[in-house]
Amino acid sequence: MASVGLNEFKSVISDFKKLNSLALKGAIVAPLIDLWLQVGPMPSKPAAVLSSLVEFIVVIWVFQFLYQADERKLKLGMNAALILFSAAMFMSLILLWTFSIAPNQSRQRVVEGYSLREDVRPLINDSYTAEEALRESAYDASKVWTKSSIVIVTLLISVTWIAAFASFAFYLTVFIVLQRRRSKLRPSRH
Amino acid sequence: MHISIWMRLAIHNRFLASCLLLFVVSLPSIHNATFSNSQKFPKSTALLYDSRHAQKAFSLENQSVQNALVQLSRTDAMDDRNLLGRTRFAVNKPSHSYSYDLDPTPTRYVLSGDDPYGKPLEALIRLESIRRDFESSVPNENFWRPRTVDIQSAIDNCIDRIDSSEFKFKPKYFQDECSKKIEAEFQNLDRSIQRYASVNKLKRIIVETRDAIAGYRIVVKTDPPKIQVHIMTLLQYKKYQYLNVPADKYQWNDLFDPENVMIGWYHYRVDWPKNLNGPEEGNVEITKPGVLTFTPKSN
Repeated sequence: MASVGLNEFKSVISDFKKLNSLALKGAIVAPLIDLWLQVGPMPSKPAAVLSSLVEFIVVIWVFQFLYQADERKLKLGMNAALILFSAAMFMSLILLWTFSIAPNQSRQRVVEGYSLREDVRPLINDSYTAEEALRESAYDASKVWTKSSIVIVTLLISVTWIAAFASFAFYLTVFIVLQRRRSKLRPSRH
Repeated sequence: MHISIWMRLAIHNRFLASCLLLFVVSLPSIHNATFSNSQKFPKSTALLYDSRHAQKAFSLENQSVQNALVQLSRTDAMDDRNLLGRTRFAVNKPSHSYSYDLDPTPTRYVLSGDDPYGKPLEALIRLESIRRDFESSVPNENFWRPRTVDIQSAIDNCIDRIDSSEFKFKPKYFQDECSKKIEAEFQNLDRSIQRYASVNKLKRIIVETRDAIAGYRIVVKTDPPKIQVHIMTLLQYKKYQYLNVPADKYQWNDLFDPENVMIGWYHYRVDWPKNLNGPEEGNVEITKPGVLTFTPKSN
């Protein structure tokens, strides 16, 4: 059973002609585009590489363990993955817009925290916001917010971002598995 | 079973192999991106201090090495309040706050290259600076006196070892050993300062100089030239003002190099001479790369 799944995986990965096979490879490589775009979570290099790696693991996992699973279960999994992808992507973008700021045109974003430092808190009021304090601290978030709150926000953004890509990889792989199964069941024309 | 599957995958699947290779190749850049720290001091400063020390060392050549180093360190601690002899400890009683900095200055700013006396001289200057600050801030407290004696003896031992005949056989080993012992004594002093602050309920003001993100390349000029410009982030300045820290206790970052990487709002001080209306302070926002020229205000 395992060898069937892995053989199928090898066959999909080594195929450079079929559209679904190319789409799967594209999906695995997609997070690496963020190395240039820098729209994803920070630090962008580890987040991009980790997202790509997690997607690759998900693809292998699906081929290894779900290739011969019940079709009804696979369809259910596909739907769940689609919902998870939408939710994680939405959450990730909301977190990025709320807790990060791009100080210049270099696309490098700074992640903010949610808890102000003791020595900054008395300075913050309606006329002097935390974002203004960030602008006045050479955009060093650790001078405005506590380190732990910055780490938690960074982790949340990264986890939701990676979860979005992982669920997308799951969705796409299950779709390919179902397509391949059907094409094998269909009688050959030749 | 599972291992053999992975082995087969890795060997027979070129895509998997290239992905793993990509990940392994990316590791150094990931590590650099995550853990890299910006350089604190400009290179030109090293040259400045080398030439100065060379002149001083020449005039002190007849003295013992230990005495010469002590004399150099005292001169630096008193003369150079910007880098080597910068303020290391300050207490602001009205605001119940204090600040201290026991971090070593890179030895390349003290003596050139791998000079074995670089480390002890740097530690001596640090010790003299902190003694000076303790004497002026907390002269009647005793928490620091035994600690500074311990640091002094660690440095003296270090100089003795460098002077010994066995040093030339294992120079790296002795230098590392020296550094470890000296820094261990500075850590003891660190703990004593924190205990003193805790007993007296003092709040620490942390001064950070690290650059946060890539900023803009800014060329800083003064007209007339060769006037010292000091900056700090505007937030740091506002913190000082809120805590009523006296202006002479402010910790400034000195712009030694004309080229700097800056972004956001800064508070500056330009040391104009008296005939140009004396020192001037103000705020400046950096929003794009370019030249930042300071000119004295006219009467």
